[in-house]
Amino acid sequence: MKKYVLLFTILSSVTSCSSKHLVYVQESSFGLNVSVGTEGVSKFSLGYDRDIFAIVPKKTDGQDAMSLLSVNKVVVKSLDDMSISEFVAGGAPAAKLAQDTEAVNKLRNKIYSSGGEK
Amino acid sequence: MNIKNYILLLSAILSSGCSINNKGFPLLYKEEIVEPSKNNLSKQVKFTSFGIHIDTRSGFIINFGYIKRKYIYPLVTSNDSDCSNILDSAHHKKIPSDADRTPIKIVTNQAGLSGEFSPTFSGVFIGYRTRNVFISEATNSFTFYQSNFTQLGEQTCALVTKSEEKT
Repeated sequence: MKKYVLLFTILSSVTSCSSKHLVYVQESSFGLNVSVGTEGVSKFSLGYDRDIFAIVPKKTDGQDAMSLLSVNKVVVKSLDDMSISEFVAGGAPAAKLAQDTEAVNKLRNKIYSSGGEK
Repeated sequence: MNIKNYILLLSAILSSGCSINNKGFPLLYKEEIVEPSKNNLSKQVKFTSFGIHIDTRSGFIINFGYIKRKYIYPLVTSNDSDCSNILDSAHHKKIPSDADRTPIKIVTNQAGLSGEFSPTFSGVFIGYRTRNVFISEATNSFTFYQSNFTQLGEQTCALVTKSEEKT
């Protein structure tokens, strides 16, 4: 058993190095889950679990993390039956949109009214 | 258990179904390019697999059981294009041949046992789960829009501007 734990630890440490990617995760599960994310974020769950998390790359002093703007509407009927309407912008488009209140309101209206339109 | 038994066990498992990097036996594996009914500015690939599925393209992932996964690849643009425009325009359809090789979104439904070792995530799971992963290089700009409300029809837009291509 010890050698399997050691193997898991080695694989985790090698592959879970710091990334240059922004990662946003939404997860629903039923069962047993053991995991390790970047920067040593560990998890153990048994039964039903729902997670929403983001992994943001490290920045040096004076740098900004990626700007992000998101508008979402989700209707969940079951674990694998969900209706989603979402808009996500990152980087320059997000910064530009965030300064335009009218554009953001327009986006919100479109996203939240989806499902009622034809 | 001696080596012969291990080989027999492995053969039994492999003969029940196996796919590697989204390639496998047709009866137990299916891959298709998805085309949304309405607006689409992305490339979407969906696959379904039963048995063993191994993926080595981004780390090492192994699944025993059922897995359904959809990859959404963005259209790479040279300027800061914005998906918000697609909300007002009807019938945008373009499946990019020059889509980015890195998916911007991965939707997974799976049941069974899985082990996953990737640059950003490592773990072991037993049970049923659904997972939506949104991923982007930190230096890139992007906009993403998706709606699958049935009354509206499915719409998808994924546009990425790579940092070195900005003007």
